[in-house]
This record gives sequence, structure tokens and C-alpha cells, in this order.
Amino acid sequence: MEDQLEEDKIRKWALAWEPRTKLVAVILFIFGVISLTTIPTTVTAYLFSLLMILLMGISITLVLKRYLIILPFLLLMTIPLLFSTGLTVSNENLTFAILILLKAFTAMTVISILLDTQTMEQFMRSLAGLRVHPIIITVLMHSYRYVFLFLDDIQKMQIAAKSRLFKGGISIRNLKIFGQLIGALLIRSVDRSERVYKAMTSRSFDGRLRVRPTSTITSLDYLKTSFMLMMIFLLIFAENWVG
Amino acid sequence: MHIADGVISISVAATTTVGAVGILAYSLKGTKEEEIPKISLLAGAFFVASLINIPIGPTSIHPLLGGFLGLVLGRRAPFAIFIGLILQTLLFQHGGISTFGTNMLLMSIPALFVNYLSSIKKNIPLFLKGFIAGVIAICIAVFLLILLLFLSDQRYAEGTFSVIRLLVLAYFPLAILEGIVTGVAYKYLYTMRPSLFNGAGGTSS
Repeated sequence: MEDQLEEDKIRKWALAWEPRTKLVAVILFIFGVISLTTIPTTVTAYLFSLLMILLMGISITLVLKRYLIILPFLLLMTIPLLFSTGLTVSNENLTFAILILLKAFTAMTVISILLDTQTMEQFMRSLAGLRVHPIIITVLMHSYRYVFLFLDDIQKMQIAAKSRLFKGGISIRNLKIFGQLIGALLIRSVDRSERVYKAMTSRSFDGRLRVRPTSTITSLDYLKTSFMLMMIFLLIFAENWVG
Repeated sequence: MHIADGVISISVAATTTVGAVGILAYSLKGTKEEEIPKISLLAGAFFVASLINIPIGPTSIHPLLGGFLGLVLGRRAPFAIFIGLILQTLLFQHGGISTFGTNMLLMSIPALFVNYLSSIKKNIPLFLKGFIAGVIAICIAVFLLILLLFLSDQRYAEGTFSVIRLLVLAYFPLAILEGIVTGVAYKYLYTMRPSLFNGAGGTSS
């Protein structure tokens, strides 16, 4: 999720989807997907999510890169399942491992709808519209702004360490340096928080940041959300009552 | 340790989501206006600090800092973890919507336990205190993860090289490394900013 979207690539209907209804659709769809227990229904959910992102104009390469982020953890969870009974792979465990991968990839594909069709500001406004506690939104907005500053800080610290011939590794001396880097980053953040608080109180900060009101939900937004939810309910229904 | 969607069952995902909401409400309760900048900045800083890669041969590991969060933020640690996880899901695109509650509990429970231990055992040398906090936080998180995986599906525990056994083998050395890093960072932070830990504007309870 970025501050600016590549609006020329994403279809208008996806950009116009009201963020609150979009968030609800994505969350419920993912919970629906993880409740599926057979390969045909899960593959259908996966193909549906792929079709959705293609119709929205979301880059498939970007989605594949996101799969790579979660792949190491998924391999740790699935490869031992295949060889738990020795070198012969049981069909039951193979199906279970495939289901895990399919569900994870489907979820990541659907999350891309959230990540690529709205800005962070729109997401925060949708949270406010869903009546999330104002303190949570205030803290989230602050943290989001400062994360980039800290990333810059930590990068500079690591360059400084490298320029002093620090190469990393897990010796006690090196771990001590890593610990001190973390400590130094936190001290900077505490100092900064004190300055920020003083600046904010001098500008009448009362514990909550103002966010612009969310746009109104149209019948088209309800239709998009209902369509996604209907799809997953049909799959759950097919699995439990038809199959 | 970021559990991806699809790994745990729907019943475990739903239960942990409810649990996470409860723990977040506990952490949020009584948050004062003057704590907001500190929680925001420390949440962001901890999140970034946990991205520091420690290279080991061809691969690298990164600290989780759950125990450290418990020591510094006390009761507010689950709140900071919640914020960190949203950033991880959206900004760094790690996903984990259905496992959001699970991920939150895996870090929040150890952080709160460390905070509790720290409040009853006060006269411990600084490095040792941080070391214990780091090791305990990882051990509790791994124990909880194993429990949730087992409750999700017993096949995770089957066989000589089961997922659960591999997790224990992989995380035991990491717990020691996390302990050392947390110990050093805690000692450093306490020495430089003791006011952060003795209630003078601190958020620890």
C-alpha cells in the first residue's frame, strides 16, 4: 500500500470501490477460503481471486513477488508434512500440503486488492469509518509516518558499521553490536517522541488526529462486495451440502 | 515468525482473532494522550529494529523483540504489536489477515508475561534480565505456535521430521541469539535512558 497509486494501470471500477466495503469483502473472503477443505473448491477460489486481480489491472508480477515473501515459511510448514511417514508421500498429506499452499496464495492474491487499489490514507479513513478506536488510528498514522524515518536511520547506522569493517555474523562481539544498534535506534525514537509530543501539544493535540470523512457507500459498492461474498459462500455451500 | 494465511484452521483463526481483540482492549484501556507519541514511535522503531538482518552463512535471521517490547512498553506492548503487524501486513506485504489474531497473540502473550516477571523480579543484572526476557519470549511464542498448529491439525506433529519438531530445532538456537541481542539492547537502553523504565513518563505498568 503506497501513498500514491499507479492509477493509470488500475481499472476505474476497482479504484472506485469504497474502502470500507472492500475491506469487509477481503477479510470475509479470506476467512471463507481458509474454511475450505477440498482441492477443487480451493482451486476455484484461487482462480476467482486471480481473475479478480486481472480484471482490476493489478500486476501479476507484483503478486508473484508477494508469494515469494511468504514462500519460505510455507515450505517449512509443508515439506515436513510430505515426508512425515518416510520417503513415500501419502496422498492425504500431499492434499493437505497443497491445500495450505493454495489457501495462502489465494489469501495473498486477495490482499493485493487492498494493497494496490487504495492509498494508505484511504485505508486509514476506512478504519475510521468502521468506528475503529480513534487512538488506534492516531497511533497507526504516526507509526506509518515514522517507519520510513527509522528505516533511513537504521540504513545509515548499518552503513556506518560497515565502513568500520563490521561484517555481521553471530559471534558474541557482533551480536553485541547488533544489540547496541537496536538500543541506539530506540533512544533516537524516544528523543524524537518527546520532541513530537511537545510540538503536538503546542498545536492543541487532544489525543486524536482528524481524518477526512469517508465517501458514501453506493449500491454499486454493495454489489461488488456481495458478489465476492456470494462466490465464497457458494463454494462453502458446494463443499458442505453438495459434495 | 509471521504465520501465513492457510496454515491454521478456521476454528483456531477465529478463536485467536477474538482473543487478540480482548488483549488489544486490555492494552488500550487507560491510554493517556501523552503516551500516544511514545507508543507510536516505539512501535515503529521496534518494527524497523526487527527488520535488521543478522547474516548467518548464506541466510540471515532477524530478531523478534517480543520480550524487549514487554520490558519497555509493559501493558502497552500488545497495542504496539498490533500496530507493527498492520504495518507488516500492508506496508511490507507479508499478508496474514486470517492469522492476524494468531500472530498478535504469539507476540503479545510473551511480552505481557515478560512484563509481569520483570515487575516481580527486580534485582536482576540488566544484561541477564534482557537475556531472560528474549529467551523466554521466544520459548513461549514457539510453545504457543506448536499448540495452535496441533489444534489446527494433528498432522503437523506426525513423523520423525514433523513440522513441530523442526520448529523446536530451528527456534532453540534463535532463542539464545535473541536473548543475547535483547540483553545488550536492554542494558544499553537502560543505561542511556533509565527514566524510560522507572515510571517517569514510562509506559510500563
